[in-house]
Amino acid sequence: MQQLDDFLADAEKRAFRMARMAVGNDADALDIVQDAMMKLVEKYRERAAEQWAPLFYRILQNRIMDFHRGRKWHWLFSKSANDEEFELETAEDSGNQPVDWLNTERMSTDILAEIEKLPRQQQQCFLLRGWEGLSVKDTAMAMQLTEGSVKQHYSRAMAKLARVLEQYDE
Amino acid sequence: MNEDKQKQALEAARQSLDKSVGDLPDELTDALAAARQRAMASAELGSTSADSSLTDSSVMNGRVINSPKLIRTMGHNRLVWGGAIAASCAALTLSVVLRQPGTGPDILPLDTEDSLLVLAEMDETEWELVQELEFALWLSEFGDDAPATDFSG
Repeated sequence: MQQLDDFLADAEKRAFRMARMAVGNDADALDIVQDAMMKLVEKYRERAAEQWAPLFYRILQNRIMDFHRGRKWHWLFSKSANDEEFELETAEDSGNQPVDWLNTERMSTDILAEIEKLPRQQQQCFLLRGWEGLSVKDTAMAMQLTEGSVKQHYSRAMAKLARVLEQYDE
Repeated sequence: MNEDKQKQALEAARQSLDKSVGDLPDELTDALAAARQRAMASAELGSTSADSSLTDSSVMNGRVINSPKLIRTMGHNRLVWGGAIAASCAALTLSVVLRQPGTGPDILPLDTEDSLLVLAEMDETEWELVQELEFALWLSEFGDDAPATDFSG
């Protein structure tokens, strides 16, 4: 049980960020992560430890899809308002900071903003594959997509992020 | 796309995301920790108390499957079972079609209005049952091999 607790302690914040990007507000993201943790522990704690990650993210993605199915129209109209809830701090007020630090901060802000703007499947594929490190197969299982779709979504997400980086090339 | 550019973009994105996790406010990190503790506590309660268990165990194809409390509580209400079974058949048919090679989400995208209307008309009870059935189906595909989690491209 301690091993499972350690796994969840390590994953919970990243899972929250994933859910937050997908649903647009803290409260729902928190509910989604709570549900996912509860379900993993209740139903799959006896599974081998190496199965916890794909199972947990599969549950998480299911909950995210539930959210969008259940609130599809509300989500469409509320997302633009919720975009303002999570404003990243920028370096604009730090007039005395070195230019390099400002550029790094701006780049970080821009990359996060770009990830948040991605279509949901591209976004979640990128987060699971590129950030969480799941294999293509596990990402496909978590997202209920084919492996080809995962690769496509991931590739498109990477292309958009690379374009953000190009703006900062000297 | 240039491979180096891709690697740089990936590394920059990871750093940004990791930093954003570190910047989460205390009330959120505390709430997450509390949720985790509740989940772990519920597991310990479930393993020590048979009466308050959230799941029943049954054996299917030699494998123990935990069925949700929802199914027990639905009882013998024919209308509820009938609606749930009809809804689950519709949703499972969609799932099976989507799993066929080459049919992917592009052939029957879940965001088409008709599909969404069908799915949106199901109530919460039916949805729970559909999800449990779909999850059991997915779980059965795991087989005896643990899924690999590799970090290679």
